[in-house]
Amino acid sequence: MNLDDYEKDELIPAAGSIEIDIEPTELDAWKNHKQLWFRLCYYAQALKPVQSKYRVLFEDPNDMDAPAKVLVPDPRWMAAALNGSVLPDISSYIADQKTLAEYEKQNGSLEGFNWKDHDPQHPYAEPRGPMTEEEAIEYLVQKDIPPRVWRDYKGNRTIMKIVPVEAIPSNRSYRNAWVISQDEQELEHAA
Amino acid sequence: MSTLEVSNISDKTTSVPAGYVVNGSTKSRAAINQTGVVSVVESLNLSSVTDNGTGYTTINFASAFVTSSFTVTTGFQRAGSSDLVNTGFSRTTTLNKFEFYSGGSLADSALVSLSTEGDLA
Repeated sequence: MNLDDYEKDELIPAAGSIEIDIEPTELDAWKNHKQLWFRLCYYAQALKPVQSKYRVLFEDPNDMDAPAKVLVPDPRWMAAALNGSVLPDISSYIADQKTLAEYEKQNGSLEGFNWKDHDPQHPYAEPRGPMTEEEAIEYLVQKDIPPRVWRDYKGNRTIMKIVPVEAIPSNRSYRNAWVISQDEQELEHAA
Repeated sequence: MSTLEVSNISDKTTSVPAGYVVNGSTKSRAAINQTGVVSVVESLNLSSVTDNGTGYTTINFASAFVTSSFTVTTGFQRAGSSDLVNTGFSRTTTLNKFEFYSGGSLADSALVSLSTEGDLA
């Protein structure tokens, strides 16, 4: 029976007398939800986080004086990527990046951009199947690193590397002097 | 499992649309350790974070916000102390990420906590 079939007084008993049991299955309807965010909520509870064994080092060709950046995969996102049935295909994010880039080109900035005036792909795209960890890292590179780093850069310098997490120094004393080594060693301190 | 399908929610005095509750919930949250090798301790709706340098991190959302006018609540705990420091933001870059940095002189934090509210795309 639909709730609308009940009288209002039946729906709202005296204050303090209503009890609602929230069971673990309450989020089940979100498992296959057409909106990405709801699936992320469901799988955040259903899956154990996975710490990636990789990091992505990159430098911004538009700001070569800035220190090397380190992309850190989110453990819950990685769990979703390995599981499948959560994340959309990377093509949906790339289509949205193209929409943003076109808007920025026409207007000089993203000021005033509103997805309600456009057609966002990634929140409503069909979820894809499971990925390997390496495929997930390549996915993240395309999603979260500017194309000018991984696609458009034509210079001779190596400005992006996928490295094991052990290659990242834990001593951050000279963090703002990190650059990507052009030799075998992954990172070096410029200082 | 049962689903409540209602247009409005009331406490007998005030009535609000159900969408008010759904849209008002936190859409993203994160707890990040910026010391040592940067790591994500807890999260929702993130795909990754980018360590840009000392005290300077970018959050990358999995599901983007509809505009760049989302709100952010955050706190920094500096390494070796328990005080909170100011946080600065740049959210004019794109709608699927924002950058944050500790106020004053940049410093890594043993724990940064953030939650983000707003409408999703």
